[in-house]
Amino acid sequence: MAGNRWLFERVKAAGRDVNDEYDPIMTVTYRKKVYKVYSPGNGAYVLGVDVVQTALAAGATHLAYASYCEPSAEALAYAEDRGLTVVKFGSLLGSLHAHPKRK
Amino acid sequence: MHCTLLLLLAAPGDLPPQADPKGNPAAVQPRDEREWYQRGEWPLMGAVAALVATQFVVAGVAWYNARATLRREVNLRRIAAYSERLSGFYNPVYAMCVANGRMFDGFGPPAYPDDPALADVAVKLWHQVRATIILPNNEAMLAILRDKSHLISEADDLSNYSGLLVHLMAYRLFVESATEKYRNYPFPKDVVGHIEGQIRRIKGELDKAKMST
Repeated sequence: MAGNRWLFERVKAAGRDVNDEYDPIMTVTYRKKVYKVYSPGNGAYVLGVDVVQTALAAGATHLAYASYCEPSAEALAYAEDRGLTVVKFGSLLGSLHAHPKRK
Repeated sequence: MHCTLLLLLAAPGDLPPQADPKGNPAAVQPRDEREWYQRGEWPLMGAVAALVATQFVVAGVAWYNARATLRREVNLRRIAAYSERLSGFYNPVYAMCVANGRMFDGFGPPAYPDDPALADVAVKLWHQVRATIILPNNEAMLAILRDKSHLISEADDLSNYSGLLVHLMAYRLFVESATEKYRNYPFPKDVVGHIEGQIRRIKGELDKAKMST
């Protein structure tokens, strides 16, 4: 099960242009750039090649993961070879300027 | 003993015939009224028999004492060997396996919060635990498995720990560089139960050896 829900809520709350359908791919358009994001579900602590393959098969351009995930060296190399950007949730939210505002 | 025997052999078993004080060889000798065991060779034979019996008893007691001492010595060595097996191999490996397992369950990925917003703190804490507890324990276990495998009991075998050994080595590599190959070397969960069984068995043997000392 893709784990886009948490990310979707953050992006939506930041007022970004995001499709309501976020499973398995969340599509966000920001500054004329389209982000097709796939996130592995909770419990995927080592992000392996299999996860990258799932993301590619779903048509993702970005693979976002929670900071408790650890992408394997093999997964990073495989993703890079196929043009898939692997980023932490925090980095993606930073790129979308969608971090929650401090009060 | 030999001197006594010579003295006994030199001593006459019977009294020599007494000469008549008046020089009459035909005088009637007084009747020998001694018991049979006081006559002839019997006193000598009796003395020899008593001596031999005594020597047998002495030898028996010495043999018994030597055997008891040997048994006690063997038991003491067994106690020392069992104690060393426990303190040098089984107890530390077991304690570190259990400690690492509890730390992994309490701080590691199984304890990560569902909310990714809290993940940073959890990961930071887990990495601290990994650096200060898990990895030093792993290195200590590796040292024990490498240097103290001679303490593994006769009823056990080093091959029972090969899974643990390669897991510890693979985890060291995984921490340095997360690789998927690590999945091929998971922690062998049955090893803790195996060590528990060995500790129970060795403790039983140790108690038995202590009781018979």
